[in-house]
Amino acid sequence: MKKLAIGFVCIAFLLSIGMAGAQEKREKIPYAYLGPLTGSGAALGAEQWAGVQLAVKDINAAGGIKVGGKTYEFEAHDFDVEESPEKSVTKMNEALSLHHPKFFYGASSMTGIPLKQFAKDKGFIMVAMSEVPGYTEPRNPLCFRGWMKVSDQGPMLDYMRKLGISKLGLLAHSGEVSVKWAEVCKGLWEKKGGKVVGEVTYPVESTDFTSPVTKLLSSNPDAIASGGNPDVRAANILKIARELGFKGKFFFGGACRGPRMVGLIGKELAEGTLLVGTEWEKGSPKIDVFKKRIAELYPGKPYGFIFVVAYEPLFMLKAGMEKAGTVTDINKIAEAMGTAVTPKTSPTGLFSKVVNNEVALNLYPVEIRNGQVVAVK
Amino acid sequence: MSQYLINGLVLSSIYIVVALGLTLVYSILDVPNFAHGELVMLGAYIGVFLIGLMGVTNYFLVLIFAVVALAGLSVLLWKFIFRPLRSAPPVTMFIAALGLVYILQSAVQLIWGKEWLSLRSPFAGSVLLGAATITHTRIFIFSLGCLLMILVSLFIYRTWLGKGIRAVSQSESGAALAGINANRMITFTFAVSGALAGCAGILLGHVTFVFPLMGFSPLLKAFAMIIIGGMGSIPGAIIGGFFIGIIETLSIAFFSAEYADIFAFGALVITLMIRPRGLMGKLE
Repeated sequence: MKKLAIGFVCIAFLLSIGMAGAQEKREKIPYAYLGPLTGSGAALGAEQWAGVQLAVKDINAAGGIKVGGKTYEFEAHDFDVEESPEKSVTKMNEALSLHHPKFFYGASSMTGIPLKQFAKDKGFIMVAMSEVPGYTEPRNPLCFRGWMKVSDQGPMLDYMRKLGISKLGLLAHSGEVSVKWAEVCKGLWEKKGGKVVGEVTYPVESTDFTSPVTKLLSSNPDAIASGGNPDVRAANILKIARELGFKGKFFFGGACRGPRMVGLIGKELAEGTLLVGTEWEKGSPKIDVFKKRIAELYPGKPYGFIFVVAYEPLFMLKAGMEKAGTVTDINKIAEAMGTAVTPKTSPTGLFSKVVNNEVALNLYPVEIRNGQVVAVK
Repeated sequence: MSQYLINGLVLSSIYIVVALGLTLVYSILDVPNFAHGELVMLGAYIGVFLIGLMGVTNYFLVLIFAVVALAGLSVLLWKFIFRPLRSAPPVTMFIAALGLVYILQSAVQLIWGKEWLSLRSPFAGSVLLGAATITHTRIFIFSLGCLLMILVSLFIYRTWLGKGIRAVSQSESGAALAGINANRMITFTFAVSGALAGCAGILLGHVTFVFPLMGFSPLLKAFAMIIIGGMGSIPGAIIGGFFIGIIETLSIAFFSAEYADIFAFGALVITLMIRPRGLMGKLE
C-alpha cells in the first residue's frame, strides 16, 4: 500500500512537471508598446500600458494564439518615448535589438508618423493612436490606425454650427497632429459657413498657455477649438481662457476624453466642453460589462476609451495571426487583419471592422455635463 | 497689450523668486544648483498634498509649511551632499546636483505618481484693469513675488546675517578672519534658497499644473535671468527676470508663441555680447 501511494505521488509529480513543461513550451510573441510614460502625456501612457497588459493577460489566460497546431503567448514590453518623435525612433531600435518584436503599438502620432517609414524595412506591424491623415494616407499595408481621424470631426462642427457659433479660434501646439488638426478643422469649418477669426500656435513643450490664449482671445472668437491635447493640457488651456474672461464654447479633439479634465479643474469649469464621442460613451451591453470590469480592476483610475484603444489591437493581431496561419509572416497577418477583425473578435465591440487599415469608429458629439461625458441630442 | 504685460509681470515674479534662490546659492558655492527646480516642484507637491489630499483649508499655513519643509530639505542637501563635496573639483558638485534631480523626480513619482495634479487657489474671481483681466490668484502671486524680492533684498543688504552671507560669497577666508562662521552662513543661504523654492512651487502650481518634471522650465528661465542680471547678483536677478518675462510675452503678442524662446534667449546672447558679466555682475 505504501509503495502504491509513493508510486501515485511520483506519477502525480512527474505529470505536474510534464504539464508545467507543456505550459512553458508556449512560444512567446514579443509586443512593443511605445508611449509617453513620463512628461505631460504620462497619464495617457499609463492608461494605454495598463490596457496592453490586461489584453496580454486576457489572451494568454484564454488559451493564447493558436496557429498551425501550436499555441503562442503575447509578451509585452514598454518603452518610454515621452512625446518625442526622435525618442520614438531610438526606442524602436532599442526594442528591436532587445526583444525582436514584429508588432508595435504607437501611443500617438508622435510615434506613429516617424515609425511608419521603418515598418517595411525593419519588418513590423504597427497599430497607432494617430489622428493625422498622413499616418494611413498614402496607405502603408503594415500600419493600422486604431483611433479616429481628424477629417471625421464633421459631426462635432455641425453641432457647433447648430448652436449658432460662427467665429472660431484655433489653438494648436507645434506637434504635427495639432497643426494638421487645426488645418483640417479650418477647412471643414469654412465649408460649413463658419469663419476662423484667429489661429495661434504654441510650442508643444509649453506648460503655461496664458500668452497664447490671450492672443487668441484678442480675435474675439465665439468658440475655441484645439486638437492633439490630452486632458491635462486641454484642462490648462480651458482654465486660463476662463480666467481671462472667455465665456464661449470649447471644442477639444479626440485625445481629450473628459474625466481627467473634470478631475483637474472641477466640473463647474469643465461644464459644456464639447468633445469627440464614440460608441464607448453611448454604451452597449458589451461595453457596459467592460466598463464595469476596468472600474473594478483599477479603482479610482479614470480609465476609459484610451485604455480600450490599447487593449483591442492585441485582439486584432490575434485574429489576423490565426486567420493567416502564421505568427511571423507580417505581410500575411496584415492582409488577414482586414477581414479577420469582426464584432466577434472584439471584446468591447469597438474594434469590429477594419477598412483600408483603419478601424471604423462612429463619432458623435459629446459634452461634459455635471462632470459626466454625455452624448448630445 | 496691457493683458500681455500683466501676464509677463505675473510669470516673471514667480521665476524671479526661483532665480533669487538659485543666485544666492551660486554666489556662495560658485556652482549652479541644478536640483533647485526640483525643490520648486516639491513645494508644489506639498501644496497639493496638504490642500488637495489632506484637506487643509488654511492656505497660509500650507504656504508656511512648504517654506519650512523646503528650507529644512535644502539644509539637509547642503549638509549631506554638497558640503562633503566642497573640496572635490567643481564638476563633482555639478554632477551631484544633476543626480539629485533624478532622485527627487523619481521619489515624487513613487509617492504621488506621474499624473498631473491641480493646485487649487483659495482666491476666486477676477478684476478688470482697463482692457485686461487679472484674477485674484494672479494678483496674489505678483504681490507675494514682489514682497519676497523686497524681503530678500533687505535680508541680504540690511541684516547682519545677509552681510555675513555676502562676506562669505566674496571671500570665505576673509570672512573667517573677520570672525564670521562661513559654515553657518552657507547653511542659512541654503535655508533661504529652499524656502524661496517652496514658495515659488506653490505659486507656480496655481499657474500651471503640478507634475514631476515641472521644475525644469522655471529652472531654465531662472538661469537665463541670473545670467542676464549677473551671476550671484540679487538686483540683477530681479532686473533680468522682468527683462526676460516682458520680452517673452511681447514677442508672443507681436510675433508667435512658437518663437518666444528665440527672442528671450536672443536677448540673453545680445546682453552677454555687450556686457559679458551681465547687467549687474561683478568683475572677476
